[in-house]
Amino acid sequence: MTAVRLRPRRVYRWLALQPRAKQDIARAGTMLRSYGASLVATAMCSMAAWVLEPWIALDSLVMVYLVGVVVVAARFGRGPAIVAAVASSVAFDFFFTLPFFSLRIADPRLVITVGVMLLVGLVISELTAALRERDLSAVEHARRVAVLYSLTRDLARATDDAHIYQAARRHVARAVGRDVFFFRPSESAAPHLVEVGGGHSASDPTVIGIAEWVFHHRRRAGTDAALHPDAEATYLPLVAADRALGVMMVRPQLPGSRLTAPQTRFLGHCARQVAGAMERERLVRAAHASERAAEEEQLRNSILASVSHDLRQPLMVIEGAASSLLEGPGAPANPIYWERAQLLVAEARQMSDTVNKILDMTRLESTPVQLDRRWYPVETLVLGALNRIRGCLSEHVVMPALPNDLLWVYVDALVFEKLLTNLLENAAKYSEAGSRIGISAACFGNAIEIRVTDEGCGLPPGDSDAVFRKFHRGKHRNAVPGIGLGLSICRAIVALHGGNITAHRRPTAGAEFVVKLPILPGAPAAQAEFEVTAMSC
Amino acid sequence: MPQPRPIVIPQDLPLLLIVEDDPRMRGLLRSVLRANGFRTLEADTLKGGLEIAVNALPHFIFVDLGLPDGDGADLIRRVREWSSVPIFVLSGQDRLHDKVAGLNAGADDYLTKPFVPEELLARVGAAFRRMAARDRPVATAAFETGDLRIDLIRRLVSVRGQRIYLTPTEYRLLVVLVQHAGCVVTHERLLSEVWGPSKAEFIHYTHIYMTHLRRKLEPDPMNPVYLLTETGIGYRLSSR
Repeated sequence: MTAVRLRPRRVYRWLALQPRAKQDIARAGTMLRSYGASLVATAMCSMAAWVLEPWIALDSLVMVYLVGVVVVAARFGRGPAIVAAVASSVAFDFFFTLPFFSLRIADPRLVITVGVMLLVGLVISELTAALRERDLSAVEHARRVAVLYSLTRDLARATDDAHIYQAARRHVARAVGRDVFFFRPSESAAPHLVEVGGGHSASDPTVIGIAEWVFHHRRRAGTDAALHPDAEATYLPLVAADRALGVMMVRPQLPGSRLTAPQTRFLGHCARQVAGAMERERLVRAAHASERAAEEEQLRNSILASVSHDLRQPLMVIEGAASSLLEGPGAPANPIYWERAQLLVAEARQMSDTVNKILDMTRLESTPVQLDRRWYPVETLVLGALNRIRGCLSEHVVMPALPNDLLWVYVDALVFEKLLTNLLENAAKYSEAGSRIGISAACFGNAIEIRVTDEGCGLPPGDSDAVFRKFHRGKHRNAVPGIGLGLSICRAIVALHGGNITAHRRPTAGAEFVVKLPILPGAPAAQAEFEVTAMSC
Repeated sequence: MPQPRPIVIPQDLPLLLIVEDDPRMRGLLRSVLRANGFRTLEADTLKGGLEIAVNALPHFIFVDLGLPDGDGADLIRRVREWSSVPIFVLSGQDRLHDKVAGLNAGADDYLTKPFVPEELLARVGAAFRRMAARDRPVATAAFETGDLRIDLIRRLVSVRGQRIYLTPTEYRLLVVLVQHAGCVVTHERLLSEVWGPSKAEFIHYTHIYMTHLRRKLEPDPMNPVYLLTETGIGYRLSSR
């Protein structure tokens, strides 16, 4: 779990050091100004009332003050409007009721007037402020919807991930005044995230830590979320078609500002849009890749076919024609010509072998290799392999050692025979004529081991695994023909059958190759239960 | 469309038909076979091959399975409807399924390209001998190869004069191999001839019983000389 990398305590400590105070001062200033303005408005209303007093009735002066309250409520909102309502009532009482310049009211009817004035002022301030807020949020909403539309349009137009990041960054900054950063799983070190699309927030490990938590849990974190509410930014998972594609980090341009509920919703919408666009991009890329793979496969097959036809067929004819010179009525009487024909045969055979090995390797590496797996006793396979290459082993003493009870393996017979013949040929190639080549099979624990041993020059010093590398040749490279593919083919074949192959130096002399195959369930019974009845002999 | 030409055949030398679309391979076969006293006819399509097979009645047919106008296995099946002439499949090294298909269609044996002329001639010779033996009913009473002797009338099997006791299944298996001595017999054919056609999915029986036979008949079961294994295809009783 990458969540281990989260260190919340460190996040908090870091956040504590941020210059939050500056913010608070700025906010307090704005507040002070609007309350001051409400008092100024009340003062101006008082002046107007004083000017108008000679002409209109005392009760009507109340209206002048109420106009002031409405203006303050519409301009500055609820708090200043309440202050204005209270201040207006006090000012009316102070300046215009007997006794003047005192809060006492002589006429009991005017007490009601002042009381109603205060009440109406408060109601008006409340209603006007609510209206103002609704209006403001409607404007905000319209703006966000417009931004979301243009974001969608830009995302639809984006042709790669960079365009997607760019579009999201531009539109989110416009709509909610925040910077956007993206994190995607690293291509080299998945599942770790790396920052993508140009940004410089990744230097902080806690940012990556939170992003990874969000990625793996597919939940929001950061400001205004359950996890890490004190973090400086909001982290949104980018999820499309039930797959987490990355994380979007949204950081306020002014540190410390909070998100409103509609803004949070808006960011959620943005994240979904971006994730959808990313998924579409991914699918387009995948489609391209599979198209390319299919084309490559087709190309490889056509190359294989033409190599097979244009190289192997002529080689077969050369080999056949040359070997026909060695026998029968047409055989040359002159030993020199006979020798030359023999040379032709040997070289053609060697070349066929090389071409075949290259073709084998190419086929084994092309995916997927079709295996026709069936149950075979190891004994049948070993004897089949020995039978096929008996010509090549004629100068050696081959000593098969197989257990009395049949060992069954689930393999593709032709492919597996290639493994055995390659190992045996390799043993014959690197050991003296007349020396022994052993091939044995046994069951050890949950694996079947097939060993091929020789008494030859052994393995080159150093890493014994190196012999399985492609085009690796032993130290007798010039004396022994071949291109170093035989053992690589062996390793590929064993891997296809779910086993492994190792090479060892023998304590005495020579090399030992061990093929280990897992024992699979379903092997036929050792004894056939199906004896035909009827006659006896 | 060319009219089928009547083919005039001298009757003294064996006549071999080569159905193969690669002219180089055809040329090689022709040169090897002619040098060893056979006459050859050639066709490069399935249709042409069938036409010649019907008109010229060759003594032996080579069929390459990848023909331009169809599958060589079809040609084998068609010829087998009216003739028991020996048919050999010619095939590349990796065409295991083709070989098995050709053999199951009725071919007697296969030759893997590139073939060694020596082996080609030996196989052809064995096929002719077997054909000759088939024509003389008395000769089939016993089969001998090396030290192995199988008396088909008295159901006796012996190695170097020593009697070997076989179970009924083992004996039947051996008889099927004797009937096709020198030729490969596919697992499928062994199964259907020994156990019956309904047991097609039990190929492992053949492996098990061949192992038994090998242990009873071979002087050294780990270096068999009579019962040879052809991986993925079947078994062959050596007739040399």
